[in-house]
Amino acid sequence: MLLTVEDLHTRFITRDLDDRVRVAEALNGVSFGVGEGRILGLVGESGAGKSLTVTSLLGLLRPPARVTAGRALFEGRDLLALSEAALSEIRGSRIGLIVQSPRSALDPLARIGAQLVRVQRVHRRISEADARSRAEAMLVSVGIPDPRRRLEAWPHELSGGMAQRVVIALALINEPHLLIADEPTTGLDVTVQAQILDLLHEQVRRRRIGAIVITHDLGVVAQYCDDVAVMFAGQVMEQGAVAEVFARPAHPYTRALLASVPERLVLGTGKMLGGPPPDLYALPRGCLYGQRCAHAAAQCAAPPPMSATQSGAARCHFAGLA
Amino acid sequence: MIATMLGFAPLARARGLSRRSPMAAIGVLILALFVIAALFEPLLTQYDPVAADTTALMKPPGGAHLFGTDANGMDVYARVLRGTRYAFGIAIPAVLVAMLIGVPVGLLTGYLGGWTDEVLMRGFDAMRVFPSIILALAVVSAAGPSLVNVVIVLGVLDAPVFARLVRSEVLALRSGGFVESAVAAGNTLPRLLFVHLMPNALAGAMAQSAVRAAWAVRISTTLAFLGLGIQPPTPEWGAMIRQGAEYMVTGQWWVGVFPGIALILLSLGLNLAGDGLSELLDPRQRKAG
Amino acid sequence: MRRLALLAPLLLIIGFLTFALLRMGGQDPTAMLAGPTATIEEINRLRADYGLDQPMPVQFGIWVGHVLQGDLGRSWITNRAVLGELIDRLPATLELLLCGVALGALLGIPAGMVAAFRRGRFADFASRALALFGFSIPTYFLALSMLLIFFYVLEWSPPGMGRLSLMLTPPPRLTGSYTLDALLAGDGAAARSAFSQLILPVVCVAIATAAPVVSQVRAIVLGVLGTDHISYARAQGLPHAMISRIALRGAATPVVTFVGAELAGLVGTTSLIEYVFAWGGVGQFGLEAIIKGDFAVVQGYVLMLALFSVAMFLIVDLMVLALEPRAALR
Repeated sequence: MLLTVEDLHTRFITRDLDDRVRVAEALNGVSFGVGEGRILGLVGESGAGKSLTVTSLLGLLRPPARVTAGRALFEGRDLLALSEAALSEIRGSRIGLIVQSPRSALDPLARIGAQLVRVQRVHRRISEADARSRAEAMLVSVGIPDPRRRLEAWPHELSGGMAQRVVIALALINEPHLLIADEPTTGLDVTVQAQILDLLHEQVRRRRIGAIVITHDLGVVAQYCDDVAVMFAGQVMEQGAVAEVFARPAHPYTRALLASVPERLVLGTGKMLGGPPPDLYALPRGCLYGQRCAHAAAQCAAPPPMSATQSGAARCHFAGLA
Repeated sequence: MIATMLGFAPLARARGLSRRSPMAAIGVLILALFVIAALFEPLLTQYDPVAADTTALMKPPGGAHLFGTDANGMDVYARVLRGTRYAFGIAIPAVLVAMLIGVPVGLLTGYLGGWTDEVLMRGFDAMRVFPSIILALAVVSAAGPSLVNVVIVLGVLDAPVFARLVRSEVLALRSGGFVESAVAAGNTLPRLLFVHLMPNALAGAMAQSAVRAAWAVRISTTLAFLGLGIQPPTPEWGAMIRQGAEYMVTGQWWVGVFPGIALILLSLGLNLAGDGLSELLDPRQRKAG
Repeated sequence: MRRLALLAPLLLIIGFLTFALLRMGGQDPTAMLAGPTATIEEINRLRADYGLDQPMPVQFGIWVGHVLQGDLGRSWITNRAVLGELIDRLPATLELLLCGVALGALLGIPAGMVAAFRRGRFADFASRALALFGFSIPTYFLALSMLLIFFYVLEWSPPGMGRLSLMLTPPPRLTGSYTLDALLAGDGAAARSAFSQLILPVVCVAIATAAPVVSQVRAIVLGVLGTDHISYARAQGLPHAMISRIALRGAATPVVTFVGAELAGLVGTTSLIEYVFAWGGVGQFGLEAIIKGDFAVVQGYVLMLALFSVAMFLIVDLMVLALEPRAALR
């Protein structure tokens, strides 16, 4: 395994106007693994904690959020135990991040070329000229025509798809071992979405690196990922190889997801998938999915363990192999 | 200001105010002292603030006169206490006038948008660029320096602040789909504006009222200092500082310094309370515990 | 540039409003001008001379016509042309304002930045507390307290009476700043005196400038630190110092815009400081004209303030154009 996350807990700890401490239990024991050369799809409705998992791993949480427990082994080191300086060295060099909104993520006051050169020179010893020619080559490999001219462009001059290609170039330029893409196609139109996903897929395969793709689109998972982890209320409910899990879903939530159309996975109305997500300020003691589960029984008042299934593992009392 | 006080009630109730926002707590404490001074002034001094005593001219602080006496032999301590009433008496109605004008204007322009909004906002921009003290001076000097005029002028000049604030709240509420659902539920425009939008939009205006009261105190005392507002020997702080200005560098500093310190403290109290209040009301700024 | 186009009609509106205001105020300057012994006929003749018997819009038309020819009228107090009076006094005000604002920005901008970067720590608390104090102390009382402390108690500073010791003759006028002119003329004694007279008022302007700048810069930098591109810079593993630089670069435009707007508004504050220090600049002149009802001077002064604001906006727009790659599009 390239990355192994074990029992990750993240909490939002605030005080309200009456000075009472309020704790939102956002991540409640997230565990999953990413193999070398494999793409893991992290799915779930909005608010399930997909992006928060990534920000927790990379040490990018802002107060009042903080990691309260867990381990995340990456290349033999626990990311959650590293100092900010050590993490900073890993971010952008060993782990590349692709974000949702490329146009607002790029530094508006630096040219594309400068940003590509900057991220190289921060992480490795390389001359300005060499960094520049590598940047140019990188732009070519992410499918940007006329790279020499693009290096001189400002972020606001790029289209959404072009900006996302630049962000991919920024993530890949230091040859990371792990690539994390957080909803990489939000806000792009459909044809561009497919191009970007194809590009990501191709780059990950060619470089034989591990990748995590966060999405709420099961179609994306089916088409581009090797493994899948289904998240709900800050827990991984089911995981396994995509083909197996999709063929034989063991968890009632996975079954409900597969039965619904992807558009309805967006957070908002309480109608979706049989009810709202649980209140993070007052989580039920037993199975977090219990309130929405059609098969809930007496056992479900106790927290279900992660048990092995034919297709992988699921957090459900009724999902065991027996 | 009355609104401010109402705003403070739930805060005062909250046990943790001093821990949540020590600055706001200090501000509220200072304000409470000034309110006591304004209400119970006759109990706090034996002197009449406007009674001249020719046997005690320019007495330094200490002894019978805590803050000394001025050139008329009036007790500076009693005058500073009485000045509290003038400060509150101008600031509270001025902020009320500003809210009475600014809040409806902000509601309307925020709701209507279009060129009405554009013209008004440009006009407010212009007013903001122009130094407010010069504007206030020019208008008061033209209208005549009565107490009522000062209050009205300050209220009118400050109305844009509230209009702007309420407008931005309304715009935020509109983008949140609040208006659409209220219209769908069959509400008329005035009902929508005043019954539905106003309570939501007012929260921000309330938090600002203390800071704006500080502004009103500052400008009104400045007018008096320049001889345009209330005239000596009325115990208004600005007028007292004007009286004391000439003695400042001749050794009789107490005539001007004590009303000045009172002015700074009140202003500090209002600003602290106002800043703390907006911070507490703004969920984005809440700190982790 | 669109903002600039809006400011032209604005000037006219400000001009008219001041005009209307002063006329409605009911102060009749002719009575003052003619003196206590004048007869009704004499006053009426004066009124006709000044066009004061005409309806207000006509008077305004006459005034605009004169202004366009560079004639701002005469001061009823000094009996000199307003334009000349204003121009004579302008350098003194600019000297005070520019030095004070420069010093205030030099102190306030870094303090605001430090407060933002050290949010919630001692440096944040201290700079905010100082800013709040500077914000709460009335300008004129600050000026008086300065005189009390540095002139009367400590005896470090000359009395606040003008721009030069009364014992000395002003240097020949080149720039209008006594300190600079004295240096240029090689008059050491005058330069020293002019400089020591300058210090206290400049510090007052600087404090009045710095207080709002600190809190505003803090808010701006905090806003920039919360944007997507700063979190993305962290995700790229850029070092802390580089992220701070990116954030500061991003804060430059709003800070310049704010300080520019602030400068236009500070003219009012500076007037009060001039008044206390008997500085003799346009600010004091305008202030006294308002208090005494010197109609033509107030008109000219207000017009000059409006022009100053327009100039400030123009400078700010040009600076933003230089700072922002995106601005060129607009």
